[in-house]
Amino acid sequence: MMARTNWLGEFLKHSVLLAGAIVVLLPFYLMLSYSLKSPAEIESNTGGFVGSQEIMTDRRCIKAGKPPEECDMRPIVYNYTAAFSEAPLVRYMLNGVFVTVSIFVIQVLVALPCAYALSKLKFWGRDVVFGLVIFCLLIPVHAIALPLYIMLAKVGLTNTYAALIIPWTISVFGIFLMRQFFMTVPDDLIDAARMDGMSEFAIVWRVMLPTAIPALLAFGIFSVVAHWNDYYWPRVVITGNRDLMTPPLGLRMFKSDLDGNEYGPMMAATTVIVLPLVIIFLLAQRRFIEGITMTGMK
Amino acid sequence: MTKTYGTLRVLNGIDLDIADGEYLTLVGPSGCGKSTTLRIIAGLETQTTGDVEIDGRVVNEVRPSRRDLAMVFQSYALYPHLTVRQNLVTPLQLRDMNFWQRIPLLGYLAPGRRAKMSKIEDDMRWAAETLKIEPLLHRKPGQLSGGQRQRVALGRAMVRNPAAFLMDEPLSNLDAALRVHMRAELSELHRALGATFVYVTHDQAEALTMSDRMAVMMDGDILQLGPPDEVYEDPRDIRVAEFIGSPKMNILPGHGDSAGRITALGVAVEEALAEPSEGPLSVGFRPEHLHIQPEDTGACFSGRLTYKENLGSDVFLHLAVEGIEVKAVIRAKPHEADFAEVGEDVWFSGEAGKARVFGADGKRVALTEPQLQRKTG
Repeated sequence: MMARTNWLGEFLKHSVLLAGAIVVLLPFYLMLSYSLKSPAEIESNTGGFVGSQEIMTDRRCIKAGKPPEECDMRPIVYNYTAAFSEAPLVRYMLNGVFVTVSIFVIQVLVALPCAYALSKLKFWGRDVVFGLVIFCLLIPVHAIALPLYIMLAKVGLTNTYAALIIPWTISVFGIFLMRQFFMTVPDDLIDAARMDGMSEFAIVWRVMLPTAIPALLAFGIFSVVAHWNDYYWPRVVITGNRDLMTPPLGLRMFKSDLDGNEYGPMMAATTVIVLPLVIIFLLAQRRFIEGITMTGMK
Repeated sequence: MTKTYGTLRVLNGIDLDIADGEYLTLVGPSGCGKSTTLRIIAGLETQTTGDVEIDGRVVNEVRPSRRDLAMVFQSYALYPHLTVRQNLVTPLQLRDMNFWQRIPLLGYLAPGRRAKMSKIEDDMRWAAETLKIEPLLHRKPGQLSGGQRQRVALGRAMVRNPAAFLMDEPLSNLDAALRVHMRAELSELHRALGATFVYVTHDQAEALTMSDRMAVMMDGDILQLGPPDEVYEDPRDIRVAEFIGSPKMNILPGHGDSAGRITALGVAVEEALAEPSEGPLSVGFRPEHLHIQPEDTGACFSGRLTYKENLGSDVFLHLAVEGIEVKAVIRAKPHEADFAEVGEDVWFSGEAGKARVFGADGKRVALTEPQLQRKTG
C-alpha cells in the first residue's frame, strides 16, 4: 500500500518536473538541431536531430561565381562557416567580451566601497542611503532609458563603447548584494585591520575583497549574463556603427540581411553566442550556488 | 601609563591607572562597558569626554595603529585569505615598510627593503617559536583548530612588540578544557614578555586566576579595583561580592540594631557593626564559610537539602532556605556531608569572622573584630 502511494507521488512529481524541463530545454534543442541541418530539412521538418548531413550546394557561393565543387559542403559546415562569414561574428563577440568585462570591473570598483560604507561605517543618513539603494532596485531600466539616451546624445556619446558601458557601471543590485554579504563579516576583522594600520580603502581591497570572492562570483554571473544577452540597450544607443555591435545585435543582421529563411546559419550563430555563458556557468556552478546561499565565512 | 576618561551613557566616568608590565583584567557581566573601555584605549572608539594617555602621551587624536598597542579579538579576526605566516607578517609590513616597499614585485627594487624584510622575518620566527606554531605557518586560518587560531592571533599581536596587549575575551570561543590550559599559557606569556596586558572577560574565574589586578565593572562604573585576593576576600560592594566567586556568595537578609548587633534570618551573627545603626542589612557568606551541622548548636540556620552536587573533592549542598529566593550553597568535604540526605532538613552555621555585611545601599559595612563581641553576641 505504502509503496504504491509512493510510486504514484514520485510519478506525479517527476512528470511535473519533466514537463518543466521540456519547456525550458526545447528552444535549445531546436536551436542546436537547426544549426546542424540543411535549409531543406529545416523547411520540411525532417532529418531528426542532426539531419542526414548530405552534401548540399551553397547557392550564394555559386552566385559569387566560384567553381561548383568548392560550393559543395555538408550542412553543418555550411551553417557554421556562414555564421562566421556572413556577419563579423568574432568582432561582435569581442565587443561583447569588452563591454561585459568593463561593466563588471567598474561595477565592482563602485559597489565594494559603497557596500563597505553601508555595512561597516557609521555615518549620518546611512539608513536613508541604503533605503535609496533598495528603492533603485525597483526602477526598471526601460523607465529611464529615454532620459539616459538623451543625456548620452547631448554629450555626443551615442555609438561609442562608453554608451554601452557607462549606464551600467553603478549597479544597485551589486551594492545591495555585497552589502548583505559584508554584514556577515565580523566587525573584529575590520578592527584588527585598523589596528594593523590599514586605511579604509586598504581594508576594502585587501580584506573585504578576498573574503567576498564567492559573493562577487555570484554577482559576476548575474552581471555578465545580463549584459552579454542584453538586446534592448545596445539597440537603443548603437544606431549606425556596426563595428560596435554586441552579439545579440549581431543576430539581427542575419534576420534582415539574408534573403529567404537562413535559419541554419542564424541558429549556428546563436549557438556560438550562447556557448560561452553555458561554459562559464558549468565551470563556476559550485561557486555560484555558494554565493547565492551566502554561506560566507566560518 | 595613565588613562582617564568618562563617557556619558555607557561609561559613567572611569579613572584607571595601568602600571607598566601589569596584567590588568576588566571583568563584569555583558553590557557593563568593559569592551567599550578597551576599544577606547585601542582607539577604535572615541570617548565623549576625558583623555587616554599612554606613556604620559595623550593619544586622543592618534590613530589606532599609531598607539603602539596590539589587540587580540574574541573571534581571532585573522585574515581568512592569508596564510598564518602572512597573517603574522602583515602588521609589521604595514608598520615598517613604506608604500613603495610594499608593492608586489616592484617593491623588491625599493631601497632598504631587504634589511626590513629580514628583520620582519626574524620577528615572525620569534613569535612563531614562542607560541610553537611554526608547523602551521603555511596553513590558512580555516584549516586550524580553535586553539591554534588563538595562538596565531596572539602571535599577530606579539610580533609588533607593543607597549600593551589588549585582549577582548580571547578565550571565550574555546572549549572548557582548552580554556583552562590557555589561562596558564597566557600567564606564562605575560611573565616571559614582561609586557602590559589589559584583559577583558566576563568570566570571573579567568580574572581571578590570571590577573595582577582586576577591575570589576558594572553598569559603566568600576566598582572595585584591586588584586584578585583582595577583591575576593574584601568586596566593597554587594554586586562585586555576588559576581566574583563561584558558586555565588550566599546573601541572607539581615537586620542591625542600635546596639550594633546583627541578625541574619533572625539568627544572631557573631560580628557586630562598628557604627551601630538600626536598619536592614544583607549578610553574605561564601559557600566555603558555611558549615553543615548534624544538630542545632544554637545560632544555626536551617534549610531543606534539595541537591547534592558531588565534584569529587568537594560537595556543593544546595539548600532551600525560608526567607531567601535563591538556593543557599554550602561547600563541604564529602565526609562532612555524609549524613545529609536530599529532601531532609539540615542545620548549618556561618564561620566566625567570615560574614561580609552590606548596607541597604549595597556598600560594605564595617564590622568590629568578632573575638571582642563573642561574649556579648
